[in-house]
Amino acid sequence: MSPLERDALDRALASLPAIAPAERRADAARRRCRAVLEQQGAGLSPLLRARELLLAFRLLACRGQRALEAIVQRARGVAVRDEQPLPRRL
Amino acid sequence: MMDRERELQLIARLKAHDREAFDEIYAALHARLFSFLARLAQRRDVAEDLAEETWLRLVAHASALRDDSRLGPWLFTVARNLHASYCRSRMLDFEAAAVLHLWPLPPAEPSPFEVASGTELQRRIDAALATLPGAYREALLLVAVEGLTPLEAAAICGVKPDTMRQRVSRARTMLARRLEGSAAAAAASRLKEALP
Repeated sequence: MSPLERDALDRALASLPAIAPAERRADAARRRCRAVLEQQGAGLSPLLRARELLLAFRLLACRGQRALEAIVQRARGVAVRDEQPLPRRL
Repeated sequence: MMDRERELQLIARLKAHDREAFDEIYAALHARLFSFLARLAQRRDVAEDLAEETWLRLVAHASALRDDSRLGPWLFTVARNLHASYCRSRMLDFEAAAVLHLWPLPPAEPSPFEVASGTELQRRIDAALATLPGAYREALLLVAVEGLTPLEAAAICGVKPDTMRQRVSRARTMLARRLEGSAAAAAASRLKEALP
């Protein structure tokens, strides 16, 4: 292929129109991503929640009623870290 | 396209879970990402699923993004890998279908809008691109259509830069041959219609 032909082909390829995504579907995807970001911003990613619940259950084993309240609060997505700091070692 | 300074700002904001930053990135890159996936997968529904998954990966890994990441190549890498995984899973389906003497579903037809909006040459190029082997198609899509450098495309596809340059070169040659073939076929068809 000559350089001229190659350039012509590259120009044609570069000018291929974008394939328009379905607006409704694209919007739904964008909203899902925003929701994930919002959860992360609030420190409530699913992984973090699972980890916190596990910690809270361990607390229950050693602290009884107070830990039970912490579990309930954590399950509701309420940050209690500042008020009731987790012990370094459980 | 966004300039580099803007891109770095958006990455910093995305890492801080800023939804408006995400919206801006999405608006700037979604059409390109979707087009790449649609031409790679040759199916709109598959491209939609893979594009959504790609964006979800971005937000899920936002806090782990490097400050100097390049969003376009990052997204294309994830999209390309997701498509490769999809193909591997489909390969199992195809094998099962072959055993049962079934034929996989044909790719979705272009929408009337796509048919109307594309020029004759663009339609022929798209049709010819669809017939290229996957590795060559993705090379040409990344470098010639999306405008990434061969170095960036090589990193996306996990190959050496020289390999990528060879793929792009071969892909161009293959595409040109297919276009010549389709032009000859179209001319023959027109001649046949014109003759009594």
